[in-house]
Amino acid sequence: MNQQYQEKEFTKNLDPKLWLAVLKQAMPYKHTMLWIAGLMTFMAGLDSILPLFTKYAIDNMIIPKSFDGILLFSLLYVGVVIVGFFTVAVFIHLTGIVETGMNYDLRKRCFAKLQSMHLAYYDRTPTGWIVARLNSDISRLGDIVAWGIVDLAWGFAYIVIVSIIVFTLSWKLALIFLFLLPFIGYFSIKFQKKLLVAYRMVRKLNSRITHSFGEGIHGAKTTKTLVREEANLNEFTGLNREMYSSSVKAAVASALFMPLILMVSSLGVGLVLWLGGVATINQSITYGALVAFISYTMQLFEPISNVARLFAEMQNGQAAAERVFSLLELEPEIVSSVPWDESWSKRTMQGDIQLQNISFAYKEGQAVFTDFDLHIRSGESVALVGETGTGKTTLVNLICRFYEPQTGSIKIDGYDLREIPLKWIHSQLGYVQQVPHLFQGSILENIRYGKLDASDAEVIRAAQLMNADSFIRELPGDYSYQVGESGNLLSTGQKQLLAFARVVLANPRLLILDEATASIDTETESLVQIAMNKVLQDRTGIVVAHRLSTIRNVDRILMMYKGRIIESGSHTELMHLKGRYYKLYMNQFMQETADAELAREA
Amino acid sequence: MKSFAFVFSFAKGLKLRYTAAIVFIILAASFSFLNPLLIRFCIDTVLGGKAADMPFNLPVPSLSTIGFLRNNLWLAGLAIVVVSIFAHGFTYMRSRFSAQVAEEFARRLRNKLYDHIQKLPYAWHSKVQTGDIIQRCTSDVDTVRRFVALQFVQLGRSIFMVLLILPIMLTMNAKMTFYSTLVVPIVFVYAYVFFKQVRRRFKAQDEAEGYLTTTLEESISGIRIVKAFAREEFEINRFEKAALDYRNKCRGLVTLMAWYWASSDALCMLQIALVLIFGIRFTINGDITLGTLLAFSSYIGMLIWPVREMGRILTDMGRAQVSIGRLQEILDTPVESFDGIAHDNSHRIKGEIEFRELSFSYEGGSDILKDINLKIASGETIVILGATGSGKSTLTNLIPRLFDYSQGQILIDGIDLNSYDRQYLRKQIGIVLQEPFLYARSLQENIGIALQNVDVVKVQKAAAESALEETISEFEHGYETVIGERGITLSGGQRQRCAIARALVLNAPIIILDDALSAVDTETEETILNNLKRRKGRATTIIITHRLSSVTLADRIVVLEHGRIAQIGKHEDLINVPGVYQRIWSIQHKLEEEAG
Repeated sequence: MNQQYQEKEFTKNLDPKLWLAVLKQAMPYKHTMLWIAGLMTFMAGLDSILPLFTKYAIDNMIIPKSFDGILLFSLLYVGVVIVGFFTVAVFIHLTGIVETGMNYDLRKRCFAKLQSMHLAYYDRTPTGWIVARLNSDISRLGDIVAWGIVDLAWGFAYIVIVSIIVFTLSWKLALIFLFLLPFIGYFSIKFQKKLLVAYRMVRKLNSRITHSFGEGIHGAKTTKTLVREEANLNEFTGLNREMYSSSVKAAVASALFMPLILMVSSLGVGLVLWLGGVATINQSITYGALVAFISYTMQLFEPISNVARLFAEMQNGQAAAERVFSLLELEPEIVSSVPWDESWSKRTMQGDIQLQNISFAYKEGQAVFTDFDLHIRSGESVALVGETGTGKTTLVNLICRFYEPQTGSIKIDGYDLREIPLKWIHSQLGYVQQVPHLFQGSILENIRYGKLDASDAEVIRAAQLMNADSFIRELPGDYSYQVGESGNLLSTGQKQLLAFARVVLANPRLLILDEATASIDTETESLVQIAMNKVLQDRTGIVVAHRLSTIRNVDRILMMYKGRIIESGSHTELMHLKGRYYKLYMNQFMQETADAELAREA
Repeated sequence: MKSFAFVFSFAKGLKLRYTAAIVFIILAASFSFLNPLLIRFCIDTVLGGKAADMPFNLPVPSLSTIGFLRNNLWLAGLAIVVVSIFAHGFTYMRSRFSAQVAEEFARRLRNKLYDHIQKLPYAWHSKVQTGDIIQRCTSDVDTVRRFVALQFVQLGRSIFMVLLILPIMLTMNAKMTFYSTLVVPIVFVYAYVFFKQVRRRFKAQDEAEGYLTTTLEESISGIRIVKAFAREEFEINRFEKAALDYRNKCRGLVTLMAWYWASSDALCMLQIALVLIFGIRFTINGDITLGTLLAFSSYIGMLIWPVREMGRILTDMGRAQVSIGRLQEILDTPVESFDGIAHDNSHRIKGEIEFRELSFSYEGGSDILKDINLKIASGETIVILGATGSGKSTLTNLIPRLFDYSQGQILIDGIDLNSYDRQYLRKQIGIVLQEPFLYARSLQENIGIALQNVDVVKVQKAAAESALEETISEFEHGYETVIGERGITLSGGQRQRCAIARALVLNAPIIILDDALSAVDTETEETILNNLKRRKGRATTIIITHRLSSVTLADRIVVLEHGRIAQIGKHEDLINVPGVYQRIWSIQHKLEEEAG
C-alpha cells in the first residue's frame, strides 16, 4: 500500500504559518480582498442598524402616535435596502473573482511544475492523486480564502457593532449576550467540527461506492465470465450498508445543530423578554429598545456559527493546503545547465550516442546497470533483445534522459546530456511506446501532435505512409473522427498505427520503438515494417522487440542479459556465435519449423 | 407523477417513517408560529395593558391572570423557551426521519442498480459509455436522494407554512395581511424563473470542469509522450486554456448569482419594509396593535425566505425528474435470462463444441461472422489466426453466451448453447481476455476469485503455470500484494499472466485465451506455452493469437478472414497450401530464410 497517498486525517491544530503561506498565494488580489473586507464591514453595519429602524418607529412614531417623519423614515429604509442590494451584488462578485482567480493561478502553477517534473516522479505518484490535488484541493483553498474573508469580516464587524449598540441601549440587558456567547460559540465549534468529520466519512464511502460501480461496469465482461455477480453484489451491499449508516449519522448530526443553536438563542429571547419586560415596566428602557433587543438576540448565533464554520473548514482544509504546497515545492531532478534558446532549434542532431560507465538503479540497491558502456553511431539502427527486466526500456529511458544515471555520462553528438537543453533532445527524438497514448480529440489533432504546424496534407501523408489511412477512411468523419478519452474508441493496434504516423510526422533524428508493434496483426505489421525501414534509413534508430521477426533489418542486435550486453552484432554474426541469441532465436522459430518437419516426416 | 411512482416503488416499509416526518413538519411549523403570538400577547396585553384578543377564538385570559403575569414576567420568558424547545425538537425529529427515509431509499436504489447492471447482457455493457453509467449511479442517485430528503420535505414545509400563516394573519388583520404578502409571490416567481434560466449555465460550467479534468488526466497519463515530443509548453498552453475557460465560466456564473442574491434579497427586504411602513400607519391609526405589527414582522421573516427557496427547489425538482428518467432507463432494460440446463456445479461438461452454419452480427451492424461450421472435439486445442476485425474475439465471446446469436447454432456436448443456464455454462469456461480486468484487491484474491473457497495451493499452482511465481516472489507482500488503484500497478504482461492464472485455477473443461499473451515477452511466453502443452487434452482449448509461437500447441489451426473460416487444418497441411496461413508464416519466417 502506498501509505504516502492515503488521505490525511483531520488535523487538530491550525498551523498559522501554513495559512499565511496560503494567504500569500492570494496576494495578487489583495486590493480586491481589502475591498471585500470593507464591504462586509459596511454590510454588517447595515444589518445591525435595521432593528434600530424598528426601535425608532416604535419609540418615536407608534407610541407618541405621530406621523412626523414617516416619509423620510420610509425613504431611508428603502435607501438602506437599495444600498444593501449593491453591496451584496458587488461583494459576491468580488469574492468570485478572488476565488476563481486564486484557483486558476494555483492550477496554472501546479501544472507548470508538473510538466517540469521527471518521469521518476510520475512512477511513484498515482495519476488520481495528482488530479485530486489540482481539482478538489485547490478549489477548497480558493473557497476557504475568499469566503473566509467574507465570513470573518462580516462576523467580527457584526459582533462588534451589535455589542456597541446593545451596550448603549442597556448595559444590563447586554449582559445576557455575554452569558449566551460562550454557549453558542461552544456548540458551534463543536458541531461544525463533528459535521465536517462525519461528512468527510460519507465522501470517502461515496468514492468507494463510485469505485465499486466503476469496477462493476468496467469489469462486466470479466464478472460474467467468472460468474461473480452474486459475490460482487454481496460486497457491494455491505459497502452500501456502511454508506447508509454513515450518511444517517452525518444527517442526524447536522439535523441537530441548528435546532440546538436556536434553542440556546431562544433561552436568550426568553431572558430578554423577562428582564427586558421588567425594565420596560420600570421604564428604564423603551418598548422599541426591548423589540430591538429581541431581534438582536435572535440573530446572535449567525456570525458566531459562520466563524466557527470557517475554522472547521480550515482544519479540514489544512491537509489540502499541505498537499498543494508539497506539489508546488517539488524540485525537478532532471534539469539542464544550458537553457533553451532559438539557436538550438536550428541545430540538427546527428544521433551519435555514447554511454560511458553508466550505473543506474530505480531503487537503491537494485542496480539495473553497473559500469555500462555503449556506443551507437550516427545513422545506425540497433535492436535491443532480451528477457523482461534486463534493462532494455531502462536504456531507452536513459538515452531520452527521462531518468538520470547515478554515475557515468551519456553523450549525444559529443555533448553531455546534462549540458544540452532537454527540449532540444526531445525535439529531435521520435518515440513509440508499447501502450500508445492518444489524447482526446480528433485523429488529425493526434497525429499533428508530432509536428504542431503540420498541414492537413502532411498529416494525411504520414498516415498513408504508416498504413493508417485505410482504417481512418472507414471511420465516420475519417480524420476528424473523435478518438475518445485516451483514444478509447480505437483498438490498440489502431492506436499504435496512429502513434507511428505521429512520430513519422515529427521527422525525428533519433527514433525509438519500444515494443511498438505488439498489437498489430502480422500482415499490417510487415507493411509498417517496410515503412519504418524507409524512415530509419538515414537516422539513428533503437528498436526494443520481443518478436525477433520485427528486427530483421537492423544494423546491429544487442543481446542484453541482466543489465549487460552479452552479444552484439548482425543477425548472421550472432547466429554463428551460437550463444544466447541463437538459443532465443531457435526457441522462437526453429522449434516451430522443427515440429512441422517432424510432423511432415511422420 | 411518474417520478412519484418511481420513488414509491422503493419505499416499501418506509411509509410510516415518512408519515412521521410529515407529522413533525406540521408540528414544528405550528409551534414556531406560537412564539410571535406569545411576544405579541406579552407586549400588548401584559406590558401594554390592552385587552387580549386571541386568534382562532382561543380562550382570553382573565385580568387577574394578566396581572399575575405582569408581576411574574419570567413565566412568559419560560413559555418562549418551552415553545422553542418543542418547535426545534420537532424540526430535529423531522430531519431525522426524512434523512433515514432518504438514505434507506438511496441504499435500496443503489443495490437495485448494481444488481441490475451486473445482470444486463454484455451487449448493453459494450454499447454504453462507462462514465455516463457511473455518473447515473452516483450523481443521479444523489439528486433523487436529495429530492426525497430535502426538497420534498422543504416543499411540504413551505406549503404548510403558507397554509398556516395566512389564516393566522387574516384573523389578526386582513388589510395588513394584504400588504404583508404583496411581494411574496413575486419573490417566488423570480426565484423559479431565474434558476430555470441559469440551469444551462450550470451545465456549461460542469462541462468546462469535466474538460479540464480530462485534459489534466490525459496530460499526466501521457507524460512520456509529452516529454518525448518536448510538448511541455503545448500542454501547459492547452491546460491553461481549459483552466481559463473554466475560470471564466465560474466567474460568469458567480456574477450572475451575485445579482440574483442581491436582487432577491432586496425584494425580500422590501417586503419586510412594506410590513414595517404600513404597520406603522395602521398602528398609529389604531387598526392594529404594536404586538400585532411585531407578529406580522416575525411571520413575514419566517415566510419569505422559505418561499424564495421554494422557487429554487421547484427547478431542482425538474432535475430530479430528469435523473429519475435516466435511472429508469437503466432499470427498464431487460436483464439476461438465467434459466436453462444447470447441473450441479460439480458436474463437468465434456467440452465438445460445434458451430453449425453460425452467422452473427452486432445489433444493427453487418455480419461479423458468416457461415461458421466447425466441430471441436473434447480436449482438442484450436489456434485461431486472422487479421484484426476478422471476427476471432466475437467467435469466442459467443461461447460463454456474452452475446446471443440468432442464425445457426452452437452446440456444447450436443446441446444447443441457448438451452444452458448462462451461469452454469460460464463456470465451465475459463476465458482470458486480451485486455484483462483485474480487481483492486490482492493477487491471491484475484487469481482465486473464481473459486468457492480460497485455496492457496490451487492459486499457487495456477500462478506457477502462468509463469507468475517469480514475479510475485519479487513483490514485498507476495501474494498479498494489492493491485490497482490503491496498490501497485502491474505491467501489461503481468496482468495478462494474472488473468491466465485466474482462468487456469478452476480447471474448467473449456479454456479460451483471447490474444492473452500479446504483452508477454517471448521467453515467458515459451514457459507458459510449455505449461499449457503439459495440460493438453485436459480441456478443450481455444487460443486466439497473432504470434505463430502458439501454433505448436494446436491440434488444428483455424484461419478467419472477414468473418469466414478461410482455412482449417493441421499446420503441416496448411503450410503447403497457398493462402493466408502460408503468407503469415512466411512473413514471420523471412528472417530465417534470409539467414538460411
